[in-house]
Amino acid sequence: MEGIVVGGNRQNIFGPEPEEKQSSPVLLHRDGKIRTADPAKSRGIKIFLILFLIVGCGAMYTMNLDWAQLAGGISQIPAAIANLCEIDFYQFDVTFSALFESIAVSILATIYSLILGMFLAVFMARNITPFRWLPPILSAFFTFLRAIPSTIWVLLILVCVGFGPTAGIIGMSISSMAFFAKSMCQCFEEVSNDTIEALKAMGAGKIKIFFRAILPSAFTSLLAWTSINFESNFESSIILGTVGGGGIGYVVSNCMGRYSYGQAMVAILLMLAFTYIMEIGFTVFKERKK
Amino acid sequence: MHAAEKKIAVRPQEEKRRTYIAALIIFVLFLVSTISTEYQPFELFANMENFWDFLFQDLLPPRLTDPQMIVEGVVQTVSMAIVATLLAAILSMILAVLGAEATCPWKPLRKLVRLIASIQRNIPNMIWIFILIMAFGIGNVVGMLALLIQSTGFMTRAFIETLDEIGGESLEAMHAVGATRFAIITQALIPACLSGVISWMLYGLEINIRSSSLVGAVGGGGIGLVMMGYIKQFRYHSAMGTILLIAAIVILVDMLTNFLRKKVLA
Amino acid sequence: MESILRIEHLRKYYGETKAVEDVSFSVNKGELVVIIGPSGAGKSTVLRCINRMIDPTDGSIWFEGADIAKLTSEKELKALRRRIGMIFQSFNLVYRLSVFQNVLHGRLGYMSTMDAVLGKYSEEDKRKALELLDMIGLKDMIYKRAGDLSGGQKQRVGIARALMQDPALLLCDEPIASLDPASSKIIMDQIQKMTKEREIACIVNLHQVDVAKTYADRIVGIHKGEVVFDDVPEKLDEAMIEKIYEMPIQELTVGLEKGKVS
Repeated sequence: MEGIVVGGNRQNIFGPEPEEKQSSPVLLHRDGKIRTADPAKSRGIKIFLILFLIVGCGAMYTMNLDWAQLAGGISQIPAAIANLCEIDFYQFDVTFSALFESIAVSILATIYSLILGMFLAVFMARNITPFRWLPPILSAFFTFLRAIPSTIWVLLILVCVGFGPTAGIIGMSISSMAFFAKSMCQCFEEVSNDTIEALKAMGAGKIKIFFRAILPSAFTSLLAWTSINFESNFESSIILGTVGGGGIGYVVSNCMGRYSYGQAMVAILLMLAFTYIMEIGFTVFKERKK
Repeated sequence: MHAAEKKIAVRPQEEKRRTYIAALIIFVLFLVSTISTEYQPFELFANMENFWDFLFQDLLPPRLTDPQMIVEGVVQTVSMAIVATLLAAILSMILAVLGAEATCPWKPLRKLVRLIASIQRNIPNMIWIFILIMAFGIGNVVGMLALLIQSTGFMTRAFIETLDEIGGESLEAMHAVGATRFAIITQALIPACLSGVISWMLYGLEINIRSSSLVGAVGGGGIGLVMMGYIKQFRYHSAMGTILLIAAIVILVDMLTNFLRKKVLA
Repeated sequence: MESILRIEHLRKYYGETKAVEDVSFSVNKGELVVIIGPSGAGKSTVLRCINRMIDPTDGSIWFEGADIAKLTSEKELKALRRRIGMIFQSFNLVYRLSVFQNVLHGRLGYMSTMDAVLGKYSEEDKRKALELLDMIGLKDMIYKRAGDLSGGQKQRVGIARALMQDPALLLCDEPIASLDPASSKIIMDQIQKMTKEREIACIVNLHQVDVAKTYADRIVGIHKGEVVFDDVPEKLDEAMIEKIYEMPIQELTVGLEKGKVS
């Protein structure tokens, strides 16, 4: 509530207020009209919005958007949708096993990165790390790992170990690990220092405190982070297919390349169904855990 | 202590059983996945030599060749992200006003807006790209639209939540004063939501910068396409240079958005 | 009476700041000593020096026949701390875990690291925890989450956890400062009862003078890091209270009425 104190009749129990605060309780426009909002508060927001608009227009110009393509494409959309709607169950078994491979890749990437990330988070959380100098270094390192999209990691690993699911798993594990390390570290640091002090005062060492107090406290958030990570891994496993990592993404891009849109649509629908089921599953699981 | 006596459970039996079942499920999933993908992490460690060779001979040192192409790519990618964020913010603001309980009295319309947003959000970016390529062909239009669709999805939802959160109480008060709906929306709701909107825009920008290099790689143009090209031509030093450049851009933008958050929203 | 703890000329400086200047007193088996003093007088610091959560600058602390002020090895410190129970103002439980698990935490100092990691508590410990929970009246909610309890119940879990350690000495740092009067009474009664029944030496930091007078066998008044009073509660007169708190008694009693027990 942006109420303005107009009168000064309220007695201040802590003694007189400083002079400056009382001098001008009502803010005026330059022409003498009374302002209804404190300009200092909204000025930043206004400037930001105007700047963003200008930068956006500039970006639109430099991007050199192909308007003809845009206009031409829009008329193509109904035809594209019609193409997709001709559902074709040709090679359904291949599609299905590809989906299975994508799921397997995401599961493995999630599990390995969870273990690794949690292990590293122990060294990264400022309240439990054995080495004081380590957290900033690790934090910077993970920021770097996360700044590169997981697909690029997959591409690099692909070059190194060759085509196949292994590259996908390792590549995805790299960014997932950074994700887990950062989020778990945050969870660990949220555990109150008082609780840690209490256990320390009972003669428990760091390892005992970690397993009996910090880890259980972080457990619920751990579930949430895992579900988020698994979902995003599954999504990257789709992208991965298009660059040669196999799985359902490969089926989709391959079908698109062969103009068999109906088959691609089946793959897409399968994928969406799985995402949907997974989401429901995690929600139910979370509810029950409560 | 008598051996015959029943052990005391530290946790209730039911909870214990659930934990065991969960652990078992995870283990089975792990096993099945490992077998089906033939993933052997330890073999990889045994072959670490290969990896180091690759890292230090093929990838490092990074190199930035073709400066003009790279600069153009970077400009493309960053512009794409900014434009997508800006358009998405405008579009989602309109959609949100139509979809929020506080502003839209017509229930079917609200449902429809929410459904659209949920479809946009839940279909992976990649799929949008495929569909868009079908209609538009390859080019930056596809990249921009793919980013636009996804960020509109999550921004609409976020804006609806912001509107409803702020709307609840102040709306009642304004009605009591006798203001019209349009006046309420423009005078009370939108100004109050602006800081929330901006923080979501900044978040959207972060996400879009990350995705735009990716989207580029699969046909949207920009720095991603340049990198893809290098990898396909086996020019790994240049590819590595481009990758580091992408990382630098992402980190810089993150720093910028954090700075803006502190400056604008404080 | 056998003295469990004897503090001699304890001093703690933080750089230039003098938290504790000169504190000496001793505590016997089964004796409940209350430390009173205004906030910032150094009460908390004294307690934390005893179980060595804080390193004292100077002075000696004799506990069970050894000077523990100079201990440095992690192993010796752990062995010391498990003989000293501690109860906190903000309870400091692990709120995600059950009441039972929190009480069992009292045994962590005695367990092997492996058992602690796996959460394997011995049947004997579990039975003892159940007895304690029965005694403090929480037997019906052993599997309830500690976070779902009321303040008074949380503090009772805190007491049970401290007693699980089989302590020779119990340190209570403002145990009732965040509780309502009714729960405060229960907690103080329980602390007193345990001290007498189990012959534990007990030190309680309090800021409510009337509570101190009701429960203490002996009162130690600390003012600006120095002991200014050390005697039975009956000898604590108004002049002394005013000296400890540096405040006229009328102003103090306003606060006392609020925190009044029973």
